[in-house]
Amino acid sequence: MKSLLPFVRLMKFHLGWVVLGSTLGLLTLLSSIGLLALSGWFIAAAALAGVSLASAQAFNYLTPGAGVRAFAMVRTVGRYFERIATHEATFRLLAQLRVWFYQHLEPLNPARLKHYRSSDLLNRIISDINSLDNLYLRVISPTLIAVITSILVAGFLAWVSPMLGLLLLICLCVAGFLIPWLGYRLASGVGEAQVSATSQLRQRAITYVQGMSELHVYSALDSEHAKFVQEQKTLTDAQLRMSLISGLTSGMMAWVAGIATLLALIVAVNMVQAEVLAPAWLALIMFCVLASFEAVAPLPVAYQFLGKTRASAANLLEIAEQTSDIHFPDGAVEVVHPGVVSFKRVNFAYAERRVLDDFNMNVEAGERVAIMGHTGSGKSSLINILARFWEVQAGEVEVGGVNLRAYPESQLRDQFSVLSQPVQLFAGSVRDNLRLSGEDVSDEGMLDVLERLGLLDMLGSEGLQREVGEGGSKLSGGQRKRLGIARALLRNAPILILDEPTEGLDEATEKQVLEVVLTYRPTQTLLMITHHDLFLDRFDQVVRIGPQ
Amino acid sequence: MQPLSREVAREKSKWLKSLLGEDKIWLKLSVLAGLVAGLMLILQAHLLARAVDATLFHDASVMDLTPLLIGVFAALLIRGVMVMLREWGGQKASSGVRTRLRVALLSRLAELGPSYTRNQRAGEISSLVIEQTEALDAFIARYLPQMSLAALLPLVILAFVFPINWVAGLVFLCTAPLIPLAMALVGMKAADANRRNFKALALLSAYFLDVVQGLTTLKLFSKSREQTHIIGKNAEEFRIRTMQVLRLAFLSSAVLEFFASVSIAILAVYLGFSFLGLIEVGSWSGGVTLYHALFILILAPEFYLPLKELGTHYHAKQEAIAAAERLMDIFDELDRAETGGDQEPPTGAPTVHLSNIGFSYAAHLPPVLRNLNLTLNSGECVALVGPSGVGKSSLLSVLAGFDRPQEGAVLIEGIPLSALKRSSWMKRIALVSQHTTLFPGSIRDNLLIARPDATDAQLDRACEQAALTDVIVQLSKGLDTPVGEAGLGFSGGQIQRLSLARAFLKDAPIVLLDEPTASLDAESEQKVLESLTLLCKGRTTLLVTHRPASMAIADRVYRLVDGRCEAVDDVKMAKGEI
Repeated sequence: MKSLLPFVRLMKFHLGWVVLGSTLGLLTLLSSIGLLALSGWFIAAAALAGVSLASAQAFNYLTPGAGVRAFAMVRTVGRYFERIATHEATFRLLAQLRVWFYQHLEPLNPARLKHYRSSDLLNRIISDINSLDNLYLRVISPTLIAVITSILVAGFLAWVSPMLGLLLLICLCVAGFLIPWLGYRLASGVGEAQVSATSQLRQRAITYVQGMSELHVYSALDSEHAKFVQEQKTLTDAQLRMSLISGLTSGMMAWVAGIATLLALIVAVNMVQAEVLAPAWLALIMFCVLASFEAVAPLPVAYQFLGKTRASAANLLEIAEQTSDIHFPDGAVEVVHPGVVSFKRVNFAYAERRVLDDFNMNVEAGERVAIMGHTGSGKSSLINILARFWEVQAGEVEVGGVNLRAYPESQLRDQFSVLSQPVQLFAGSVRDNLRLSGEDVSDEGMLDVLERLGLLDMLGSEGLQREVGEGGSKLSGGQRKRLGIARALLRNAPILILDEPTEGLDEATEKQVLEVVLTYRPTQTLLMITHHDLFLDRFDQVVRIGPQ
Repeated sequence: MQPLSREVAREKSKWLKSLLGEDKIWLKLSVLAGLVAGLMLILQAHLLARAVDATLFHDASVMDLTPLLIGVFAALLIRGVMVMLREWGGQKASSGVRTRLRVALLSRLAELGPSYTRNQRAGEISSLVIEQTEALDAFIARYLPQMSLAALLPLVILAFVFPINWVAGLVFLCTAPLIPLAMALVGMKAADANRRNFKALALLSAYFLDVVQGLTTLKLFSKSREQTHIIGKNAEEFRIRTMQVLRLAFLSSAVLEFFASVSIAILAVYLGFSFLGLIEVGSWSGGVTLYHALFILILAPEFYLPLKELGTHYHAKQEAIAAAERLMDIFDELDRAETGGDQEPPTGAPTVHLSNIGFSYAAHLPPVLRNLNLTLNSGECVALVGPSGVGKSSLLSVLAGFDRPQEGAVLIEGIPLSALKRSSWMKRIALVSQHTTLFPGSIRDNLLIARPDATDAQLDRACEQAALTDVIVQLSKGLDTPVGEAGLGFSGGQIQRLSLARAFLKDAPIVLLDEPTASLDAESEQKVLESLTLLCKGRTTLLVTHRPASMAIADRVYRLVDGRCEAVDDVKMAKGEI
């Protein structure tokens, strides 16, 4: 249950809706029981009074008649507004949860997140958060209403006869706690299985779409298809088990309600025989008991899905409870020498793999440095270190004459403009993507860079409105790369870091791009990671990384 | 967006029902179980009413009532079992339908091929395959059986009530038809709102996938925090849309609640007044007895219950129809891929001739390839060069059959590609593209895609040929190392080498290479080129490249200009020019 607590706490922001919804629900339910019980009593009393003309004429039918009508109205109106209020509360909570989840996700450094596929994260923010609607709507509010109703109705019957009150309370407890608990126990594990099966199925679906050409060429469609079908079977099997359990619990509910009515009837008949109960009350008691089970009817299904809700909650907490192991101080620093970068005796390793060993590098402001090395030699890890996505194990890294660790996050980001590998573009227009460089970048500025990089043709008739597609899927590899370079160039920062800017470009374009990169901001420090030796003479320094 | 007309909704609903197929039997079982459960309820009402009547008017003791009470207990037991059966039958039908639909969707996506999926957002399609298909569950498992029950059960109850009291029967009869009518009126509006709701969810999914995949970039540009507001706005939008749907959906259940409550109130007052002698109509003979009254009153809520339950699932119907609309879209999508014929492609490395090819991605876009002619002789390696975005990748896509050219034909040993059996053609080609997808699983799983029956020795050899061995020996789990998203943990070059290893494993007579050495450093490139030379030997190869070193392994080099191929006689000259 602990995994659900943080989410219960979040409800306090929507307390008004929560309280309103539950109050209306209680009112509706009580009216519903009142309607049937009063109707039953009214009929029985009238039938008894109707035996003789005198008693029939003396019978006050106005008050019960009005009561019946009032209960009927409250039940109708109450039900509608109860559902509006409870759903409003739930969906407000869900909207808040999505933001809450992102706010916890965002500070985590990429090193932390690299174990998660983005389809998995997507599953969390969409499906898992949707599953939490179960919590208030189907668990908390109905439980609250059921408990209060049970106490009130059992209390009322206890006033008639303590025996009857106790009887109803026991039966309601069995129906309200024991059966839901049974459903919960039977379903625990099944719910979790459903959640993880859905997530795996989604992962398969995403790679199936993304890897369509490979699957075609390698005739692997069928085998991938088969894997999908197999994983789907895990899901439907879990769902079938779930439906058996919910069938069982609702069947048991019907039993308990029926048995309670039977027992109440036996007790009440005896009381009527002993003349301690007015005969017309027999009908009232029967209807009251029958109707009171409406209070506990929704609970078994709710608790049965609690396992699924808990699994979803745990999924969300798994991300939310992670803290970034990299902390940025708050206070601003004074950047003494903007554009200067230095590595002193730096050791750096990813979990298993050593990358930098006693690495030294000094870059002056405005210097152009080519960083070379083999594939996998760790050239790209320089970006991870400078952006503080990863921490070095030993040595000092300074940027602008200030230790890297002294920078608050936003100020550190302001020091660099980075083209990372692979280039990540976002669904939207070319302008949207270039806008990332800064709000103040003008259309003219964008068009100028695009022209220099030979990208104007790509825009076609739509200009900067040209849509790039998901992850830039509507552009060719070379166009994506150059758009990424344009984005990096447009950002005005003291240091420009480019990771393999010309990879995937033909030689002519490569020359054109390098020319732009080397001349666009003459005073900017340039760190260019590359494995080509084109234009090396135009760099001030060449740094080699990894075994020579 | 146009609101759904009734006809369109009916068509969707029909399509959904057509998915049922052989699973219809499970639905019938579900309905039958529901019907028996209903009959048990009527029996129970009869026995309970008898018991109260006997106590009040015939002074019966508990002992006298024993047979009645045992009867109630038996009815209860049977009802419980029927409730279970009803649930099971519905779910059985639903999982059958969803399983088949997903399989059909996947097959359809495969038919549409890479040329379709390339332009789709994977997040949206995954929502189609997962959420929207799942949205059919409640419709099939609950709504459809409930629809039959909502029609049958009230009739059964009427059949019992009418012979007892015709006024009560009339009250039921008059209120019942009004309910579906009112619900349908509200439901039609809800359908439209619901479709918008689904769109909002799909957008939310796609947007979030984009943000998560690009989180590193957003961070580097100090933009990741701003996304909080946008996500908040989207989530809020989704909430508002959902509530729009629900407000209408709940209205229909309020209508039901209204009729149920009012008719209970009317019946109670009517029956009471009959006893008091204020009303004299309704009963057939001998006046209203307490047994009649109680029997009717117990059944009154049950009369509306099936309709009420149908109402709670009405939302499910709207969801299913909205989902169906989006699902049907995929089935209606125009094929762009080569569908193929039934001819087997010739064995061995064929001569491939591209004859007068004209191709554009869509009718309104300018053609990418124009009247293009190119011949790849048997076993020859032809390199195709040209600036980025000039259509080199499109040409590969046409040759692979992912895109159908609007003009001209691809001829394999003189046989048009469109006449070849597609699956056989796919067996003949290997492809190394710029984007390599790693599937969930280990490196081994990812290699075996190319050749499921490959032995360890063959895997090792392919890795060796693709210069991948060095990478694998560094991993503690070797070939069994799981691959992360987009190959996180692997560099671009390493992923590319994995893709090459797949091509080596496949051992196909035609090889299509799309910038195979693009992300490799000089040393690795040299290694890969050595093995590429090996791979190309005796195979018909088209190599799209811009790297001079790669061009060197080609027998002939062509340049793609203005959608046409121009021969480059002197490879050295070509290098100089580009």
